[in-house]
Amino acid sequence: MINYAEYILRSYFRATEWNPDAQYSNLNRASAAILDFYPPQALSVSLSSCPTQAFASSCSLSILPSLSGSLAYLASSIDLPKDKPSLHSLVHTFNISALPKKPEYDPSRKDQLLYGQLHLPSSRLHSLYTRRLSPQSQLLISSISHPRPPTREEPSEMYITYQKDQGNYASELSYSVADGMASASSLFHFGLIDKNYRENSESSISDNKVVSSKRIDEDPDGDGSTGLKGHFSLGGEIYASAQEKSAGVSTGLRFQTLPETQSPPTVLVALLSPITGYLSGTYSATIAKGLSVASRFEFNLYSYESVTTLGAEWAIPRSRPDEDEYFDENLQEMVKPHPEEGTISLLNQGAASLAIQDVRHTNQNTTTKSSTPIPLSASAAINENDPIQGYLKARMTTEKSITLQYAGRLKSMLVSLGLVADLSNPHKPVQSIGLELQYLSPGNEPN
Amino acid sequence: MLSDDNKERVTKAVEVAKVAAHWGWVPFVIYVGFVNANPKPSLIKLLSPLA
Repeated sequence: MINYAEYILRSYFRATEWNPDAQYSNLNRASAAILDFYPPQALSVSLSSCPTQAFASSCSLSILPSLSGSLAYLASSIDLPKDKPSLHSLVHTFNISALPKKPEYDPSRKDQLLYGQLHLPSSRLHSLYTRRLSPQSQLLISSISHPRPPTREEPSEMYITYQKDQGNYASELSYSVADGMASASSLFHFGLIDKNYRENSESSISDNKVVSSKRIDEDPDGDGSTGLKGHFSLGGEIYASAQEKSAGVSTGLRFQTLPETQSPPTVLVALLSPITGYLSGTYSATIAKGLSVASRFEFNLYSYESVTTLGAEWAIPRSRPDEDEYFDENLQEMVKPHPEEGTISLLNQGAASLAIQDVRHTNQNTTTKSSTPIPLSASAAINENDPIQGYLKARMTTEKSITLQYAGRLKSMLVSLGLVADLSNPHKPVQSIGLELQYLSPGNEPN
Repeated sequence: MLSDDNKERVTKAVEVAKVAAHWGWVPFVIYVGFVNANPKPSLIKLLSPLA
């Protein structure tokens, strides 16, 4: 489960039409939701509020194993979307990121976002400042600071990142003040993207999609080709630190299916870091309705050490009176066929994620208002039409580590349960059990 | 080249700036949020997520 500040940050990127997934640093984001999730390891409670459309605050209290807390504030120069967050947008889930496209943002707007989180009793401060410099570039400065002089256990950090997104490629320059590490990365996108743009621009975008009855052996996209329809991204990064006297390079190749085709969502990523000898291959896909799996093989060319990680994510659907509805993994939405009209209407207006943020969705979302709302005793700040009851994730590695997480809702709370087990340790197989409760207060914002 | 006295002053100034930024950042975020808000919420609603 992500915290509220991260949700607001995503909303800010969406409002400013910025796609963070276009960067090389997010090349593996889709599979990371299944293979690199972090379950709660303590008992913690957090409460968040959004008193205005451009301001959010959050406080959290961690009770076990030690008592600690934090207070966070976030201010944006742009009004953030008012739609109620769905469970899907509050949990890291496997989905296909949006097609890369050149941001066409108002050049006169220099939007910014400020964030500060003060941890107690340590007084550690996490801060973030991001500013849009131009329609295609933005600056991010993040830091961790301590009131006392930094120690090796508690180092102060500051990262300065300049990002540029030109649509067909995105680049990033980053500098870490603490260790003097500078890095530059680029990611180029090619494949079926241009064709998809043409299709989108040529076809009239309507509120509903026509569904025709198809034979099982029929080409689902109707363009004569078979197999997965996707595009490739090829990128690389170089980094060097004069202070640490180290340098390195890494390259990566990704194939992912197009978000709005009938192809099952699939992402393949290969990474190679020749200097350290690190090699990894990741495969993640949705194999059934709501069920996504991922596997990763990591290998070191010099030490011959290897680790295989397997993971799965199950989107548990809410029981509904209408069983015809189903979860569309491509759209990441609940869709309901209307046989008499041959159309699909979307039921979930809040599940529009960062991965799908085009005009068609904006139009489709307007149709949801006519849908019958599903009664739900959840928080007033959470979308009542959420089709997902919860997400169950599991991960295991060849090092006999097993991690489980459930993220869902309980009454008016968002709940996350986590378990980390290490079967290689017979004396203490259960490493940690955690429970996180999160309540989103609607504040005085009209919903 | 800076003299030792000036180096010491610069170091001292950097330390003071770090402390000021550390304790002043969160109030600054709240101030920016309050200035940008329209209509202005009550201060207690802005400060406390519990309100």
